[in-house]
Amino acid sequence: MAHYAFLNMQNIVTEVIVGKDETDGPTSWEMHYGNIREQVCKRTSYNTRGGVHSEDGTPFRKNYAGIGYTYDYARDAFIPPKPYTSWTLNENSCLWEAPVAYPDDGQQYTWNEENQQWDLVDGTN
Amino acid sequence: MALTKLTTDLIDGSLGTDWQTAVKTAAFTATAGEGYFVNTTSAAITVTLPSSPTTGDEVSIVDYGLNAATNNITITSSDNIEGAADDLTLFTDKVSKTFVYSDATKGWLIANDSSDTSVPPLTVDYLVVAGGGGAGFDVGGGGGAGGLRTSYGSTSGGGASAETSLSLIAATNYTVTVGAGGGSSGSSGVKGANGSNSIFSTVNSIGGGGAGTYPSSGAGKNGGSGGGGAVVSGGPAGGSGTANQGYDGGSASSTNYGSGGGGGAGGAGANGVQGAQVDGGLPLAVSITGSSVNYAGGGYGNADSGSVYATGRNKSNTQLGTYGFGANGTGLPNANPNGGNAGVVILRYSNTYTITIGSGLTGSTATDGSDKVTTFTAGTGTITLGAA
Repeated sequence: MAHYAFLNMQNIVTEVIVGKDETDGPTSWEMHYGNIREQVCKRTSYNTRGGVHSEDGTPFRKNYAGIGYTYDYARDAFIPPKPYTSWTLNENSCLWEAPVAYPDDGQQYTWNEENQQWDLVDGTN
Repeated sequence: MALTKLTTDLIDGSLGTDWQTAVKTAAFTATAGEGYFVNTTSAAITVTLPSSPTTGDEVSIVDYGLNAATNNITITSSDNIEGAADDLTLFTDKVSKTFVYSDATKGWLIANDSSDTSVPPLTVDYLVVAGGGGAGFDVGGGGGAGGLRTSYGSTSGGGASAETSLSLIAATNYTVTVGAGGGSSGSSGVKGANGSNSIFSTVNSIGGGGAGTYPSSGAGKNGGSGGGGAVVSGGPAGGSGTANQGYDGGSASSTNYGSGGGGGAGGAGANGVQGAQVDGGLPLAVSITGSSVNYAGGGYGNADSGSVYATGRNKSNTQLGTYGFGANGTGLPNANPNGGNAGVVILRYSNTYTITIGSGLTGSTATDGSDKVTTFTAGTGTITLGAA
């Protein structure tokens, strides 16, 4: 079982399907599915995030594609929408990162774009 | 005596068939005593037999275009046909038949038949479940279940009544697509992705809504069932489900640390409660395979209690359903949850038909009573149905 993402003309993911594994017969399923839909089709990995496959498989294209993600040909990666203007792309994971690292003290924080910092969330409100 | 009957028939015109010179290329209502050349080269044609017939009334049909296998001829009547209220489909090239009206019980019977080409109507029941939505990042909401549409049983998704079975045409391509589950949020500020649609013919079930994510972008996404809202100040709303497919996702708690559950095909996601995990919407049980199976439950919403983070409870598939369920929130700080579950397409039809499955699809067929049940778990492509 494998997963395949369809792209529009702007390389935005419009749909993801479950499909046949590339080892299932001689057919190139990427090409097969792409021809059916007349869209560019790229294989993607359900268990891959940030360039790591959670079950030690092949981490295809950095991140599991989602509707609205962008496929970057140069990086051969699916990249999620950018959440904040100030965040930058980690070239290894192809995920967006804040300019300040998330605190590792076990508490929860929310990003403050205006002040460019993580604000502690008061759980008791 | 026989001569007297023949003479009477000649006088009133009831002897023999009055063949119509105009070839029929569109639906029409037949008249007793007439014969028709029916040309389905361009499209399938429905022939309606005469209303209020009397015993001995006859109608003859010939496949003029020699193309009935591609575009069928459907015979319909307000009276029974061969003792049943169902339509009759002629799907063999060069077919010809003469129908004679008998009585109210049997209705129209076949007096002359070019071949054994009549089969039960090609009626197909379906269950189409889209992919479930992904969960939100960190203490995010639960993903919405994939939209569920079915013609089997009494209830479809979102509390709707079961839909009408599809009347299909033999030897015609119909599209099947199995939508994938939406990915979980990959990072803070990015909502869970929506699941993708699953499709059979004209039936399109909408992918489940992705959940809102912590610590921003808290509102759940709309989808087949809505994604749950995530912990953000103000209690962001869950996403809306699609009418007749699924329910809404739950809202986040108006106080912090309580995300909403994703909507399910059988119920809405619970609203978030501070410091507690809440249930996703119920799945819906459908027996199209011959057994009652749950499909498309919503993922649960998560929370933490102060500085003690919930470890996440693992709902069983019984609770979530076997296909199209939304992803559960993790309840762990700065953690990535799983993605939503893939959808499924299941068809149920008479065992007088066989199915041809396109190469890009993964499907298997079982038998339940006098029906076949084909389950598609992967791919996109076309299927055709034909006489066994």
